[in-house]
Amino acid sequence: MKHAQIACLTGCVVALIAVLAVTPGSWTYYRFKTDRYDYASEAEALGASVKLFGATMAGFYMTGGNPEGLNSFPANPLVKRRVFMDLNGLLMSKQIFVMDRDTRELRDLVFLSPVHAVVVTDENWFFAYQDAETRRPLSTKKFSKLTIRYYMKKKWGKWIVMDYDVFDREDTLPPLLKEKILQW
Amino acid sequence: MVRPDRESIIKFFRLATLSFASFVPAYGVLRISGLFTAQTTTLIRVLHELSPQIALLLFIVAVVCSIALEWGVSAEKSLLYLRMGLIIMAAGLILSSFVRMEGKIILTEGQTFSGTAAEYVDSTLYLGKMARLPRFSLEAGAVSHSERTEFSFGGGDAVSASYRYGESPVRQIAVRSAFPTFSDGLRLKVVRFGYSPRYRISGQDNEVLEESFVSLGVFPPGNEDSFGVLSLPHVFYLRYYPSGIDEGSGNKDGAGVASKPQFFLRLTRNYDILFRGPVRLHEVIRFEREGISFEEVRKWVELSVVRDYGMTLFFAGCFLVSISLVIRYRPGEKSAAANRAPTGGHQL
Repeated sequence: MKHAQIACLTGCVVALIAVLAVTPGSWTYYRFKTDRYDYASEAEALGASVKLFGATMAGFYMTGGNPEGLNSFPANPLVKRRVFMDLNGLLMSKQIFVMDRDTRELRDLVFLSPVHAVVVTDENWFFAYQDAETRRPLSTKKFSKLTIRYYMKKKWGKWIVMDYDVFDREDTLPPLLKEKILQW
Repeated sequence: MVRPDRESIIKFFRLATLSFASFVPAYGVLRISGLFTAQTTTLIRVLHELSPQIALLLFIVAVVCSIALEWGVSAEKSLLYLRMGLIIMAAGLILSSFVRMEGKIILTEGQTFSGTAAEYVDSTLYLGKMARLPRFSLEAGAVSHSERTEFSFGGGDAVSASYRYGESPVRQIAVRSAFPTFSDGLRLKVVRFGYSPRYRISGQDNEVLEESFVSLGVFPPGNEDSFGVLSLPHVFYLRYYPSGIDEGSGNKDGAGVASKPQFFLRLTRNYDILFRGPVRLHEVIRFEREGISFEEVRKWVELSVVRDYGMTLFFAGCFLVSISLVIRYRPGEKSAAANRAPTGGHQL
């Protein structure tokens, strides 16, 4: 009976070793699930990425689509495509969309895995249209109180924005679809 | 009487069998526990990986060796059935890794699924090493939804469909969420329900630029989902209320417009919210140079499609294992077993 117990235990130990060897990032996930993850420094890195995202996007719009800064823009290719599709549309109508951030406050930050996180911020922005050539204002300044939910993933050591949802400050945020986010 | 060196070999194979039998479930549980990964896969797919497949193969070899070495020595039929059942279960799991096919499809009322790989929901299609897509088609008819309570049987979601497998004639089937439908080796089951509004993007002169159904997770009422259009940078966030949003003012407009708004739309272009408010059916919301309206709403269901002959074998093995346990532990069998030649009792 003792030998049987040792045989079963051996099978379980070998399974554990196999799981650690086979699963990518297994040790990192284990540390994350057992609260040994460095939340503080990752939260700081997330905040810096979100700040860079907003600033770079505002820069693209202010310059009418100057791609300088595209490499450091922490965004998914689909997000970049959406931004530049919009910029092309504005250029074709000879307009520039000026974005100016007033305030940003972190509302919530949730880590779903060591490489997936959701950041919710309350941001106040000013928006205005200008003529692309003369910079003459084409509209009044619009003040927007927004709540933005950023879906972040850590790729190649840095956090990038996979997608984001924009809400009015009065909107109730829908629940997170964790399974969908973890598949990114 | 068994000779000592043969007994050692038998013991070795029994212990090896126990080790391999412990490895497989331990590996599966550790992989899906979420402790070492983001837990986005199922137990069956985990058991199709190389390590458990090798362990299953070695398990079969060890059990076969045990049977061969103890042939004629042990008179316990139940032990033989148990071992045969376990071999069949392991063989079923190995076969499953080769032949399993699973995926999810979304069917909107009136739409047809033709069976191509592109029609399966992204990242849900899984094919074993030698599996092929089943050649079947489904034309969705009416979708029904009813609330299921804890104590009710049936109810839930269902879709009636015209089903055709290969070249066989078309027949009507009903696929439900309460229990699966089996047909031609396929197991079909409704797993989700929602609404598909038909949106229309129109230009400045009201010419139709794009029109399509979009399956959204806007059920139950108040749930929000979003969609985009490839040709536009905008994102449309939508909520759907089948019984309407009570504005208190009733019918605002004339012909072609429903009495109560049924949608709540938030339209954004990057950080800018261009529109936020209730929308009626057929009402055109203009934004910049385009307009959007919702012309119709249909229901959709997400179906789970599974075909796995390996699991059929696995359950056959489970049945044989159950028979062996019934034989072993039936009244009178225990004392009869104790009177037989000593071979090791409960070991594999």
